[in-house]
Amino acid sequence: MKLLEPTYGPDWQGARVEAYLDGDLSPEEAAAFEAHWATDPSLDDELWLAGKVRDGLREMPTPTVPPEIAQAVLAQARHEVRADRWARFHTRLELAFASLWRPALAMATLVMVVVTAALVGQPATLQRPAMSAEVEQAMEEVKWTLALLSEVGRETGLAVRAEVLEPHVMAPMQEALGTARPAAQAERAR
Amino acid sequence: MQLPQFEHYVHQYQQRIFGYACHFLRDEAEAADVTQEVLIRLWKHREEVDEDRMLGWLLRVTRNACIDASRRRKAQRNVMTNDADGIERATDVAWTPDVAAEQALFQEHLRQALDRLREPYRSIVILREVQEMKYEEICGALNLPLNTVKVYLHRARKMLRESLSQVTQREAA
Repeated sequence: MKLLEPTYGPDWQGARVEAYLDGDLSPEEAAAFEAHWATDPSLDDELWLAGKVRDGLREMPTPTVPPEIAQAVLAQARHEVRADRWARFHTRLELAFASLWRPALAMATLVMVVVTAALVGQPATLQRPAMSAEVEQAMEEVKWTLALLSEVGRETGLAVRAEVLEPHVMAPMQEALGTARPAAQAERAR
Repeated sequence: MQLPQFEHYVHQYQQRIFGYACHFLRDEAEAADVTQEVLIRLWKHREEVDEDRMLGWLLRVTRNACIDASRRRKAQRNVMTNDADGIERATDVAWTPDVAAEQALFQEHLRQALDRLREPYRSIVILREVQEMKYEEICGALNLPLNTVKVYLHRARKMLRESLSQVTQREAA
């Protein structure tokens, strides 16, 4: 049912009775109301009933909320927080692996190159034929190249560990498992 | 809103929500269900709720949940809750000259008269007179302007007085 927009009607006496009981009248208004009350005994009943209704409403007992409600609500909230934390961890893990495969592939390729080079180069050192100066120089350059590749491989491995594995895989895993290392210890390990 | 803050709000407002729902529904079990539903809804909407207007939001949601619960109950039981004959029966059965009993009887009449009030009169009376909330809080809870709340409260009180004046006159007679 749609309610009409309220407007103050002619029931000023009722409104004054309520305002008087609520203590909303100014001292002058209250005095004027009391003077009017003295001349109008019908106000006695109205004031008595209004006061009784007001007191009756305020005395209505309100039961205490059962503690199980808060317990159930908070248990559900905690469960959702844990589930959300795990979901975020998995997302991070997926992201970490997604960004990990390129460096891993590069590492594998590098290792393959190094191993192949070592295998190819091995017999040459065992049965070294007489070589010209140009061949000697080329061999020297190959050695340096392999050494450089090896160094690059080592640096890449360290970088992958420091920038991908530690922050995106190990740290979230330790955080989720509650075994996070103190910062100083983590720094020392690094 | 983080979990500790939510926990704080649950402890702060659960009694108000439960009290309002109890007076609205007159059924503690249903009021408990409504309270739980409202608090879970707060958790689900924790990012959207303005924490400065939390109480208003909670009471609006509580009122809607109470209205829904009330409708469901009426549909399920097919029983009129606004029992116009209740006052007659209560008067016949429980009348006694004992003062305490008279007071209890008056409270019961008052309770029934409150139940017969339509919305938003009933909510305004519960929030203002029973739970003694500030007008500003009631405005926020019911989304009504201050003057409208005051006028509705005045009308509601008048309706209660009119309902009870018949009973009290009858008892006095």
